[in-house]
Amino acid sequence: MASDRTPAPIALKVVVAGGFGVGKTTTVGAISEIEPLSTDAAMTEVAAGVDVASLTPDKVDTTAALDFGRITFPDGIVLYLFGTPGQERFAFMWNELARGAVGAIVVVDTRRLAESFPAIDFFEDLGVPFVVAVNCFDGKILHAPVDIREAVAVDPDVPVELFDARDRDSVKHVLTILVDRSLGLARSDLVAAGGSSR
Amino acid sequence: MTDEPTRPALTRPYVLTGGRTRSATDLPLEAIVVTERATLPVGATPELRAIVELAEEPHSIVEIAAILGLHLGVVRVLVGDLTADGILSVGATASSELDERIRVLERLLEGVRGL
Repeated sequence: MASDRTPAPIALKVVVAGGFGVGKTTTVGAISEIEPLSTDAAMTEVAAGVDVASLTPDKVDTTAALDFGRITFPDGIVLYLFGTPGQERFAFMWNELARGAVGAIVVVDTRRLAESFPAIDFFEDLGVPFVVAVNCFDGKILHAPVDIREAVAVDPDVPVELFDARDRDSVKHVLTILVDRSLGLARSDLVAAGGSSR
Repeated sequence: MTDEPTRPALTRPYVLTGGRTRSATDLPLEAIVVTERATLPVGATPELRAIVELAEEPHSIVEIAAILGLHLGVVRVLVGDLTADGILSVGATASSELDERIRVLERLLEGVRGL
């Protein structure tokens, strides 16, 4: 029965973060090989150390829906893309999602730039590679990337890309930039580690 | 502090795990598992059986949760148990070793470019 079973592939993940309604699920859906799935992530693990009762006196939404998509590559790698709940009250899930992640795509709506700040702060603090992806709704570019870079105040080497969350090639472009960035940082880390290991 | 009526349990889904919210092995939610041997003890719950059946084909923990409509935390604990019992095996996730991480990222970059 089991002799011809395929071994489990290597699973990698990318986090798609950003403010509410900014196009995270659209981004995931544009490139996922499956219709994005959704699961309830229980709040309980997290609630330890947090006074849940004080947050929510009577009734609580104890779960957060976690949307994700998948890309299977021919050489035994599967990439999951997780759209994180945008609200800050679900920030507890970001730690779990960020752990071991290839990196993060922070989707930005230029009309509500500040909503992307919590995600940017989070990934910066954790040292998770990320790119800022400016969702150009209806193809309208309201601001030049240089202005957006200044407004979100990211390091000069953090990629800031204009994209269309509905367009597969556009999302693929952003994903490529992210993986390239992540690889570049890992190589730098290796050099740094080698240089300091005498 | 007053004695209030017991609040409704927030963790009711965890009745499936005997109340445990942690498993022995701390599996990432993207980890992909495969059934090694579908020999469950008599009296195994329908949830365990469903997981083992689904994992005849490789599925990640988060996919199992979504497909079976179970809480992610619950699936993580149950999969941890099944792995400890040798019924499921777990595939690799991102390595903390830089060398290995770089090799896998190189393969991923090739893959993404070829999409």
